[in-house]
Amino acid sequence: MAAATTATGPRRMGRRSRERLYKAIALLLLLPGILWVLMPTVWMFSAAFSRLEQIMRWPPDLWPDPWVFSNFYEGFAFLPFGRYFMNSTQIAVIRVMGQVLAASMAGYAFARMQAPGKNLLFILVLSTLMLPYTVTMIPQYIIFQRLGWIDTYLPLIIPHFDGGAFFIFLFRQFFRSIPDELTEAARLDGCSYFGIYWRMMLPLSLPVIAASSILIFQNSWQELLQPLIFLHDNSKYTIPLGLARFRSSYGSSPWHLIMAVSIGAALPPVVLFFIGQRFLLSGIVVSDK
Amino acid sequence: MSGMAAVGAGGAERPRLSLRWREAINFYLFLAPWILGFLAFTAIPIIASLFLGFTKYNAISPPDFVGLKNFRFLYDDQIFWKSLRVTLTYTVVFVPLQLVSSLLLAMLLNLRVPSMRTIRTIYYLPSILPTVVTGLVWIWLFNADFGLINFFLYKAFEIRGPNWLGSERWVMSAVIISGLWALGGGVIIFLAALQNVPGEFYEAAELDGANILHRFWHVTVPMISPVILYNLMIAMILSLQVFTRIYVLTQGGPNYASYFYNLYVYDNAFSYLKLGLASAQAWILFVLILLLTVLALRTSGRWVHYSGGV
Repeated sequence: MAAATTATGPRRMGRRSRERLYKAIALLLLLPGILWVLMPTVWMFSAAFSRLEQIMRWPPDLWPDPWVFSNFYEGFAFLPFGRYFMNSTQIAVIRVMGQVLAASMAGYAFARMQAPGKNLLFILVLSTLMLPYTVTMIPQYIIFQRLGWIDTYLPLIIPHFDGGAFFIFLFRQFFRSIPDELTEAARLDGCSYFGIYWRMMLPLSLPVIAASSILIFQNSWQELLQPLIFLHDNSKYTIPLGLARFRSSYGSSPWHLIMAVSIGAALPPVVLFFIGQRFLLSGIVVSDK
Repeated sequence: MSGMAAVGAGGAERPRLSLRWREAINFYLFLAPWILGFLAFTAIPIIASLFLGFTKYNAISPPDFVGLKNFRFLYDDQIFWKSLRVTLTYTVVFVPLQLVSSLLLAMLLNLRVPSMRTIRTIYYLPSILPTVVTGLVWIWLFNADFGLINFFLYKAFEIRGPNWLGSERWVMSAVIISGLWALGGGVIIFLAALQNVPGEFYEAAELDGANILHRFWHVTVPMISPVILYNLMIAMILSLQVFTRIYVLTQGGPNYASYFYNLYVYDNAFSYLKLGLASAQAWILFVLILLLTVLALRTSGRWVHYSGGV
C-alpha cells in the first residue's frame, strides 16, 4: 500500500509526457488504418478513370494510364442513371422532411409532456427496433398493392413518416437536455404546446435536426430491399437498384462505367456529411443530464 | 355543508384537472403521426404476417389455411437450416469483433490530437458510402486474379490469396472483412458517449494511481455501459438481417455458402411467390431476435450501470 502511494509521486510527475506517449501510440495505430479505410475508395476512383483493360491487369496499377474522363458521361448515359439519380433525390428529400418532423414531434411529446400510457408507448416505440423488416414486408406489399402504390414512391416514403424509433429517441434525449425554466416561462405566458415546440424547441434543436437529416438521407439513399420489392418499372428505379441490376444484367462487362456511376452515387451523402458534420456529434445525446 | 365543500373542492380542482387533460390530449396529438404509422405499417402487418405464416399464399388466389405445414416444411428444408447456420455463424463472429473494434476506434478518435477532425472524417467515410457502391467495389478488391487484397498478400507474404468470393471456404471471411471495414454508426455513438464521460472521473482515478487499463475498466466501461449494451443489441439485430451487402457481393453463393437468412426470405416471397412460407420464416427470425434481446437485457443487470434514469 505504501509502495503504491509512493509510486504515484513520480508517476504524476510524468503525466504530461505519458499523455504524449499515448497520443503518439494512438496516431501510430490510426495512420496505417487510414490506408486500409481509404483503399476501396482509391480503387473506385482509379477504376472510374481507367479503361476496362487496366482494371484487369496483374499486378494492379492504380494510376490510370491513360486518364479516361468519358467514363462518367458514358456511365450516366448507358443506363438512365441521370434519371435514377433524380428519383433517389426526390425520395430522400421528401422522406427526410416528413420523418424529421414526425420524429421531432414524438420526441417532444415524450420529453416534455405527461399523459397516461406514456411509458408504455415509449417502450412500444423502442421495441420496434427489434422488429425485422421481413416480418412487415409481405403484408406491406399486399397493402400497397391494394392501394395501387406499387411502382410509386409512396411505399418508400410514407411508412417512414412515423419518425422511426431511433430518431424519436434522439430528439427525446435532446429535448430533455434543454432546461425546464425556458419553457416554463413561456407556458405561464399562455404559450401553447405547439407554439413552444415550433418557436422554441425546433430552433434550439438544429444540431439534432441536422444529425438526423444526414442519417435519414443516408438510409434512404442506400436502401435496396424496399425499392427491389416495390419498384418494377425500369424508369422508376433508384440509384442502388439501378446499380444492383446493372451488375446482374451486364455480368462482367463495363466495370469502369459502374465505378464512374458509383462515384456519382456516393457524392450526395458525402457532400451532405461534410456540410453537416459538425452537428453529428453534438446532435447525438446519449446520456441523461 | 358537505355539498358545498365538495363543490368548492371541485371548483379548485377543475382547472388543474383540465390542464392535465389538455396536456394529455396534446401528447397524443404530437404522437399521432407515430401512432397512425405504427398501426398501419407495423401493428397490422405484424398480425397479418403471423396469420399468413399458417397459410399457403401466392398473392393471386386467396390465402389457404394449412396449419403448421410451413413450419414443418422448413424443419425438413436443408437450405433453411443452411441459411440459419450461415447467419448465426456470421453473427457470432462478427458482432464481438465489430463491438470491440468500434469501441477501440472510438477511444482513439476521442484523443485530442492535431487534425483529429480529418482523421475522424476519413474513418467515417466507409459508412457514408452507399452499401451497394461499396459492395461493388469489394467484388473487385476480393477478385482472385486482379484484386488488391490478393496483391497485398502476395507482395507482403508471397501468399497466393484464395478466390475469396468464389470459394465456399473463404466467402464468409470475405463478408466479415468487408463488414468490419464500415464501422461508422457504432463508432459515432460510442464517441458521443465517451465525450459525455466527465473528465474529473479520469483525473480522480489517476490521482488514485490508476493506469490506463484500470481507467478503461473502472471508469470508461461502467460509464458507457448502457451504450455498449445498445450497440451490442443493435449490432446483433442488424447482423441477423444482413441483406444488401450480400445481394451485391455474392447473391448467396457459392453453393449457398453465403445464403443469409433474409436472402432466403426474400427469394421465397418475391422470387417464388411463397408468401405464406416466407411469413413463417420471418416470424422465426423475429422470435429468435426477441429471445436474444431478452437474454442480453436479462444478463445486462450485472454489468450495465445507469447513472440517471433513462
